[in-house]
Amino acid sequence: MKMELVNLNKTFRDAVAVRDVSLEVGHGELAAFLGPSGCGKTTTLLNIAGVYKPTSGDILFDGVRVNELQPKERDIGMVFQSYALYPHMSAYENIVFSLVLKKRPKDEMQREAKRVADMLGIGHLLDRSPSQLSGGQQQRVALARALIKRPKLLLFDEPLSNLDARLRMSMREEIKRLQVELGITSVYVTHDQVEAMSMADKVAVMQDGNLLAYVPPGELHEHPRTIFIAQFIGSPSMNILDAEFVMKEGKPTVILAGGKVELEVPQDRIPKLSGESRAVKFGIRPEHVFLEPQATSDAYAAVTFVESMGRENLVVCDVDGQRLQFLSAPGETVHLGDHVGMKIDMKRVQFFDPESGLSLLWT
Amino acid sequence: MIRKATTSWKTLSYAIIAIWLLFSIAPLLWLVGASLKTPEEAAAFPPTIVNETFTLQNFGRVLQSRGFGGGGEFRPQIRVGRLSISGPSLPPGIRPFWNSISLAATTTFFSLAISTMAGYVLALYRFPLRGFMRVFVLLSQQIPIILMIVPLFLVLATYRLAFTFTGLNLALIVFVTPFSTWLMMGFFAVMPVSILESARIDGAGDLKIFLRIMLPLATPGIATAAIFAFTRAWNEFMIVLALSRGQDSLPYTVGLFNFFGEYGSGSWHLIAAAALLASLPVLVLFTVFQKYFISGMTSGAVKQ
Repeated sequence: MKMELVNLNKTFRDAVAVRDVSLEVGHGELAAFLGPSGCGKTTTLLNIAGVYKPTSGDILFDGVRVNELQPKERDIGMVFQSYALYPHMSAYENIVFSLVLKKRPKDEMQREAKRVADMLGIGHLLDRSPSQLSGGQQQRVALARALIKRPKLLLFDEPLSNLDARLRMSMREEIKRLQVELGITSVYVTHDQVEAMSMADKVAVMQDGNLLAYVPPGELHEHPRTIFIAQFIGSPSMNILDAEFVMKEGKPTVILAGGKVELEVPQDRIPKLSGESRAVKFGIRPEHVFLEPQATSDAYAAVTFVESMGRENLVVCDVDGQRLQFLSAPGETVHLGDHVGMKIDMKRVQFFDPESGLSLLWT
Repeated sequence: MIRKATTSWKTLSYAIIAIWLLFSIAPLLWLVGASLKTPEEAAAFPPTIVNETFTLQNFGRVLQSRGFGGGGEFRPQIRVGRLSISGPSLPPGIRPFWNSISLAATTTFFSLAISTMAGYVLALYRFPLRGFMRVFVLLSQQIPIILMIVPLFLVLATYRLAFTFTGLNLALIVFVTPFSTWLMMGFFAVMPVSILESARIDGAGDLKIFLRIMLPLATPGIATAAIFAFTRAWNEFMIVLALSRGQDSLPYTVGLFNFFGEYGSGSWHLIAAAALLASLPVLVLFTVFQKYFISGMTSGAVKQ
């Protein structure tokens, strides 16, 4: 099923929770809504589910407006962060509850419960009550309960946030595998960018109720449209430095660190500017900065912090009062207080407008 | 981190609890003791702390007493519509207890029926004047009962219900329901909203959600409200005294009052026996339902 939002707005009294969001999730696609808490992603999801009614705008399922439809009429399955299992019912009763409400025959219920339980590997847990299940098992029951209805649209509200890191990874794979196998159009709300990037066909980044971008994960990472996206996506987050862009002796040049550093900008990374020279925000990801002997280095700075990340170290430097972090390769030892030379991979730089925060490379 | 309690601390805390327990249970023990004394021992001065005599005759005399029960022998009757079941012939002293039980039971039933639904709606639905109504429910509890008796009597009289069992019952329901509603509201307000949303997506309508999801989850709250309603109706004296007339329909509180008047302060053994009989149902109720106060029905529902 194809799901579309057209100029969706949701206001609670005076507070705008969702502002003019338009997007389209194609058949069988998984779209992730990504953003910090309070950005409006869950509100958008509950609008799609029909728990909330949009203040204005339309929700279309396969081109048909469903604004006025009750949740139960929308053919959706939903998985909640809190699992939201019915605590007084067994796992089996939880899973078949929607069929009980539809007054389906008993043998059909049993058959369907077996089908989804086998799919999720919880066949042996059906007699247990939710309190006797672990977090991961509860989430599987919740998923089974959503799948038994053979929904046309699956909605996930931060389904993995309450699980520990290892379980989160395996559930991530499993949900993605099921979603692809069953070919169910899905909307997945998360604040975890790794989850969004690894699972989604397209990621919708939201901030303060606005949809900032709706693009495939790779593009989000490589072509960030705003500073917010650039810093929100990727870990450790992108360095943003104050800089000035000038044409120096006919060469496009960016001046950093109050004039101490001058770097030539490759042709395909020249910011779109109206004037010749202008103040810009210069962005570079930590993985695109390397240690370099001082003689050939682009910049030279004091190390203010070293954090071991296991395989590599995160090195934080002070570049003329601004923070620059990068990853040192395994085997390279850097100590607090060292002065180090750095090479910046100029083919990977980003430029942003200091006022609006919009990218000067991608629109 | 919890430190392991040392033996001396444990001993001390048990001692404190034991003293407190003795302090709170002493009146009840005294009541039991006095109800088992012979008239001679009960009248002795100074009173004996520990019984020298034991007899069950006092209970028999209370139950046979006309002053307490009124009228002659008593046959309990349960009427549901046209169907009527009569019980065996019982001593007249049973009658006021039977009256109280039927009053308390019907009050509990109807106040629960109203307060669970009202509490649910007030807690989870949004509608105009909701805030006002929530405050109003509590506010209605702040008015002293005595102020309400005359207006209530006039209302009942208007509908020809004054001095009837039904009228009395209605009055009790009116007095008990606001607090039960407030109680249920509190219980429903802390229910995880996601369970409700989940049920809605599963296809349950408002009534189904209420009956199949919310009510079962609110069992501890319902038990609390039920015990509250029952004890309040069971112990109510002022309203009952003002709104009932005639011996046959008197609940035990008024019966006890009349009984005291009849026997005066000379018969502590009889008064103690009557009072003990009166407190038994509530004691039993608390013992049976106390587990609901401590059970966590919602555990495992939602990971917080």
